[in-house]
Amino acid sequence: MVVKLSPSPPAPPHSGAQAVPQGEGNFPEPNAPTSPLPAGEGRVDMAAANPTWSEGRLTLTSDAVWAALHEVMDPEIPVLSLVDLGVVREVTVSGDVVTVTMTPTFSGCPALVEMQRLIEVRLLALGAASVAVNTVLAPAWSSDWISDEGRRKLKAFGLAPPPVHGGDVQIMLFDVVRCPRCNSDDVLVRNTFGSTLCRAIYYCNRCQDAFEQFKPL
Amino acid sequence: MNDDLRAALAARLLATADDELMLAHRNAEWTGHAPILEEDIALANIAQDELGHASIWYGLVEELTGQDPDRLVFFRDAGEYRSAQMVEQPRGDWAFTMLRQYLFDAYEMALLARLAGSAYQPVADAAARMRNEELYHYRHSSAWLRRLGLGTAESNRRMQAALDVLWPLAGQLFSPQPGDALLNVEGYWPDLNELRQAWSGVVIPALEEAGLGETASAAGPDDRRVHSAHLDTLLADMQMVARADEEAVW
Ligand SMILES: [Zn+2]
Repeated sequence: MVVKLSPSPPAPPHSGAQAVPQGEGNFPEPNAPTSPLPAGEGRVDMAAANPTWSEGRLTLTSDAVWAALHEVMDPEIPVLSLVDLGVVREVTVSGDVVTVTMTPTFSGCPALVEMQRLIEVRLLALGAASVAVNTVLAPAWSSDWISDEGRRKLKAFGLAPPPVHGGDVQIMLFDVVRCPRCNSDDVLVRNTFGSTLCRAIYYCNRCQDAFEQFKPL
Repeated sequence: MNDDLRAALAARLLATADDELMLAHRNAEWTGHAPILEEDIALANIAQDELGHASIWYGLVEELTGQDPDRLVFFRDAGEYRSAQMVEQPRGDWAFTMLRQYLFDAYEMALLARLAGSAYQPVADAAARMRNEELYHYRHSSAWLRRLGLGTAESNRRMQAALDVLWPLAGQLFSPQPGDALLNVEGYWPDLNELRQAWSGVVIPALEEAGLGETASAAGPDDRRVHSAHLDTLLADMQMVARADEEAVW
C-alpha cells in the first residue's frame, strides 16, 4: 500500500526504511564524538589533598577540592562519586573562592540540582568561603567518561556498567552486556528504560533474575 | 545579533519547546495507566526526557528575551503557545500514543541532526546533548510501529485510525513562521521544506512496512497560533497548581 500525502511532498530518495535521519542539506555534519576528560583531570593526589593553614588563613588547593568532590556521591547511585561519574569538568580555586563547572548527564535528570547542592555543601565544609557551581552543555556528557574505578563500583553495586562506545551510539546498543552478579552474557534486555533516566532493565538467564544497567549515552 | 534575527530565533525555540512540553504532558498522563509495567516505565522516562529538552529550549529563549521559563510554561494562555496541534491531542489509545511518538521522534531525530551543526552555538550544544537520548525514543517507538502495525487485525486497524487523524496534523511541524528565511540564511535553523522531505523519506517507507497505508487527504492546520480546544483542557490541568498561588515558592 502507498501512503498518500496531502499536500504531497516531493518523493525524496531514501536509504532504507529504518534509516535514521541524517544531517544532510544546508547544515554541516554534527560535531565529532565528544572528547574525554583531559589526561590527569579528575585524578587526585591524596597527599596533597588536605587544605592547609598559612598565617591564619585557609589555603585551598585544586587537589583538595577534587578530593572533596570524590566524596560527593551521585544521589541516585550512592556508591558513585560525581568525579567518577565524569560530570565535574573543571575546578578553579582563587583564595577561598571555588568555582566548579559541571555538565548534566541526561537533559531531564532531576538529580542535577541536588548534585549542585551537595557540591556546595561539601566545599563549604572544606572551608571555602563561597562556592559557585556552573553547568555547561558542551561538550555533551558521555557515559564513556565514567572512570574505571566508577565502573568497578557500579558493578559491585549491582548495576552493569555501560559499554564504552567511543561516540558511536548506534553500535553501542548492540554491545554485549554482562550480568553484574555472575558475569554471564546470557542476558536479555527487558526494557531500554528503567527506574531512572540512566538505567535499563535486563534479565539474566543464568541467575534467573533481573538486573539493571547504567545506560550507554 | 540584530533584533529581527533575535525575534525569529526566539520564536522558533519557543515553538520547539512548546512541542516538547505538550508531548511530555500527554505522555505523562499514561503514568500508572500504561498497558504493561515496562511501558509505564518507558513512557514516564520518555516524558521526562522531553520535559528536559523543553527546559533546555526554554532556557535558550530566556537568554534571548529574558522571559522566565516558569512564567512561559505556567502563565501563558492557549493563544500564546506555539505548539503544533498534533502534540496537544488527547493521548487516545496506545496505538495513537505510539504512532504520535514515532512521527514526532523521527521529526526530532532529523531536526536535532541538523541543529547539531547550527551556527548559533548554544543551539548546536543543546542538540548535541539531546541526540543520543532521542535515539532511545526513536528505537522504542519504531519497534511499536512495527509491533502494532503488523500485529493483529485489531492492532493494525487502530494504528490506521491513528494515522488518519495524525497524518494531516503532522504537516504543521514544518509550517513556516515569520523570520524563518533569516534563520536559514544565518545557518541558525534548517530549512523546513528540506527537513520535511528528509522526514517523509524515513517515515513513509516505515509506515508502509508496518502495513499502514492510504490515508485521508484532508488539509491540516498550518499556523502555529491556531490551536484545538484540547489545548485549553490540557492547560487547565497543567497550570492549575501553579496558578492557585502565583507567589508560592517551591
Ligand atoms: Zn547472572
